[in-house]
Amino acid sequence: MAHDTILLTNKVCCNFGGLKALSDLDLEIIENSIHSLIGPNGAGKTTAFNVISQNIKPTSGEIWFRGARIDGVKPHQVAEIGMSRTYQNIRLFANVTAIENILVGMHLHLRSTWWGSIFNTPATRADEKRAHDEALRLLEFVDLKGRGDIIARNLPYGDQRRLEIARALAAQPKLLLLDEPTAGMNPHEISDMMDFIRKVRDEVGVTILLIEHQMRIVMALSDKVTVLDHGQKIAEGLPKEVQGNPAVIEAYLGSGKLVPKKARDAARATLNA
Amino acid sequence: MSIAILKAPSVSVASVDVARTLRMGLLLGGVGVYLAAVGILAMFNERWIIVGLLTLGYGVLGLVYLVAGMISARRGAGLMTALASGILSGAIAGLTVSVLGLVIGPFSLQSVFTQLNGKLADSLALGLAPLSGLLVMLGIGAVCGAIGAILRFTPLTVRRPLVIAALVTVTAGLFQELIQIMLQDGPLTPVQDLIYEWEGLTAQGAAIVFVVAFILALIGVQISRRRARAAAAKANADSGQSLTKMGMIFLVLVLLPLMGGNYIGQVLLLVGLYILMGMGLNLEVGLAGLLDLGFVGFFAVGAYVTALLTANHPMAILHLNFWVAMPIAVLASVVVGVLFGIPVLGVRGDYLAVATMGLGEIVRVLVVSDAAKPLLGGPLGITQVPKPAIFGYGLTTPIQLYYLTLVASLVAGLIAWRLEGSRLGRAWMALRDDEDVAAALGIDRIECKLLAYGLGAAFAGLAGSIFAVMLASVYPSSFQLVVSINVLALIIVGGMGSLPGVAIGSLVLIGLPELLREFGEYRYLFYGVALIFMMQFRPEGLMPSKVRKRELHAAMGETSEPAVPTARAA
Ligand SMILES: Nc1ncnc2c1ncn2[C@@H]1O[C@H](COP(=O)(O)OP(=O)(O)OP(=O)(O)O)[C@@H](O)[C@H]1O
Ligand SMILES: [Mg+2]
Repeated sequence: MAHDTILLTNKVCCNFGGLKALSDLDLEIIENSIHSLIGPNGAGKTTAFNVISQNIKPTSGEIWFRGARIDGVKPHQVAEIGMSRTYQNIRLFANVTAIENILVGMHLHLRSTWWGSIFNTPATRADEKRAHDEALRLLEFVDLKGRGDIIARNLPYGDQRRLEIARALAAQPKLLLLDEPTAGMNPHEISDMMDFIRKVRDEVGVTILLIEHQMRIVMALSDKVTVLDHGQKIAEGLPKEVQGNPAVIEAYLGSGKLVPKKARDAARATLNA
Repeated sequence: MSIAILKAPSVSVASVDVARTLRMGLLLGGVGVYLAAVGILAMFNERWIIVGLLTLGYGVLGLVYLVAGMISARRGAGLMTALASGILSGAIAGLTVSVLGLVIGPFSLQSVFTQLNGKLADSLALGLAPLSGLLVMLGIGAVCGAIGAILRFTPLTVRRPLVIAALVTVTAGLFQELIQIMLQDGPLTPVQDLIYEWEGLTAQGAAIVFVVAFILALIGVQISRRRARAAAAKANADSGQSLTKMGMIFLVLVLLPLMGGNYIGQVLLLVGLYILMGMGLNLEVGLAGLLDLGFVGFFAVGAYVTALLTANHPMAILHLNFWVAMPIAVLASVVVGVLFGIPVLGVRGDYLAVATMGLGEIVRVLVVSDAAKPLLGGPLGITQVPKPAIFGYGLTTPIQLYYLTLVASLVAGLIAWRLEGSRLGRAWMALRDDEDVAAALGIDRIECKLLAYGLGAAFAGLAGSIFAVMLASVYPSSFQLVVSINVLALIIVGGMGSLPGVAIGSLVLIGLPELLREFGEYRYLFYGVALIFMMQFRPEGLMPSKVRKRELHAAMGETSEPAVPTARAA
């Protein structure tokens, strides 16, 4: 394992009953890169995230993260070693404030104990103060300054996406998994989000594994692209290489005849965007 | 039919939806028949609300007719139409009920429905000859139905005070004994003379109480509306308010024993114990979101350990001072709480309720079992648990022990309040909201859940400890499933996750039914009806916590944000 590999999966499979959501997936993510995972609907991208973060145990295969084997480990322990994620359908703690969401994200890095909290010891107060300052700093970083007291569910959609990323960053990850961070956004928001993802990589110094549907974004952001279809890796390489790959085009277009012309054109437009 | 109204509102009376009105009248009449047939009516008729004028039983019947009128009157249909439907359906309901009275005589149903006797027939005919009784009942139904229909058209700012005033009047009549004791021999004796005679409210008294309550409620509603508007203007104004609320409730709890009497003391002590347990279960259910129906198990452990360590009884192991035994009992409960949590760690939601219920039953069954008999005394329990003392001052009366529970609840409340805003409290919130996300953020589910069980059990153990001294003995029969259900219900009624809610819930669900003891098993009927109404009209509880209220309303699909677009831009 090369020393600058942060995540390595080796023949990872994940079955749901008879469905092979992932078969023999090999992934290698290089430290400090932006690595994209693409593929048509139902290709197994989100499943790959679930398996990597140990939300779902892989059926077989090995997963190595920062030199430790993590398949079979508890999800909170994976977070402890430095992995955080966001979700395709935003999963904020919707009924508490933005600040509180971030504070939950900082759980791992706070030292206060429950008895310290009960007696409200000076150490606990100092810890909470530090946490709040840090949370405010993170809010500012994701451009939500001044919105900390808003209940998460009442934030606009784009803000919720960024808050979810802030919460993930609060856990101080080395690897950040972003599941379609631009889903449902308008072009203007999308280009903001792209700048933001770059900023996260450059300024926070985390490696990013990105699931993304829109080629334009994938092309502009990624250092490397992996293409999944029916749970299998069908292509991998630089964005340019992948874009021209016939297998990829085939996967996106479906099996020719069955796909109406209109849909085929749409898919082609997606690829060439 | 609705089209007819739109076209010609002037002939509205003709456009009553007769079928629907009949159905509602019959339905509510059926409710009245049911109340009569199971004997509630007869029992309630023994109790005056207004002496010589209105019994509780007839009051309830009137309410049934009123509801008939209210639900058949539809707002869209115009006042006259609504009034007509109200009168019709109220009268139908009245007719249905009096027909029961007529039937009872000739057809003997008493072998099946033991309550359907001549006395009931008499009271359904209002003590008149059968036919004139029927006519009067019909008239009463019509009047009540009309009132119901009119209420429907009354603006909320007036309707609410009216309802409150009616409730206050009924309460004043129902709890007359208690209130009279409070009023007599004090500066308030003239008030007592004005509104009460020895059996209950006088007609004049009822009128005074109603009017005063109405005016006060009217003012109150106006003030609270204004305040709500002001609070809406500045977003975070109500944290201070909930602190004043808490202070007020505490003040009431401190002053309540002044109502005097050992009986009140007993009731209050029970309320205090349930507040304490509620504080504990609130950590589990309200904060960590772990439904627990085995809570009584921890309560039992606290009680038995205290008895074993202090009682003057051959079964006791030691004869320690209460203040030494209590912490040990609490610790034992914590240990049991944690052990209890382990097998259900992976269980979520509804299954958790069933699993914990089973575990709670295991504790009870173990205690009564023959195996534990030489240790715990089996069904006979352990007796002669001595009362505690502070600085040589014995805590012997229920009221003194009540203050002990109050101090303990205050400490428990403080702990819960501190924890809620802490790192652990946030982790609990996260677990409650979305376990997977919480775990992905590094929250150790096992640690957090076991802490919730352990800390919750501590309060239950403390309550059990005091319970053992309260009864001066412990028996397995005190630790039934219904205790767990009561604690859970009081949290739900008070408002999940809310500390003042625990106190209010306990007063309403434990205190009030105790005071209604003369109604025997029917108390639980009230209890059920109250719970159903609660869930229907105020599901967040009487005094909800802000976060839980939001969660609930979100769960019921009242999102305040625009729908999230999920379509992918191609
Ligand atoms: N928990 C689960 N149980 C059963 N089947 C699942 C589960 N999660 C995913 N699947 C199935 O696995 C397949 C892959 O799903 P996955 O969500 O990983 O796709 P995806 O690539 O993320 O698609 P999309 O672009 O729509 O998000 C789908 O057929 C899906 O129905
Ligand atoms: Mg997906």
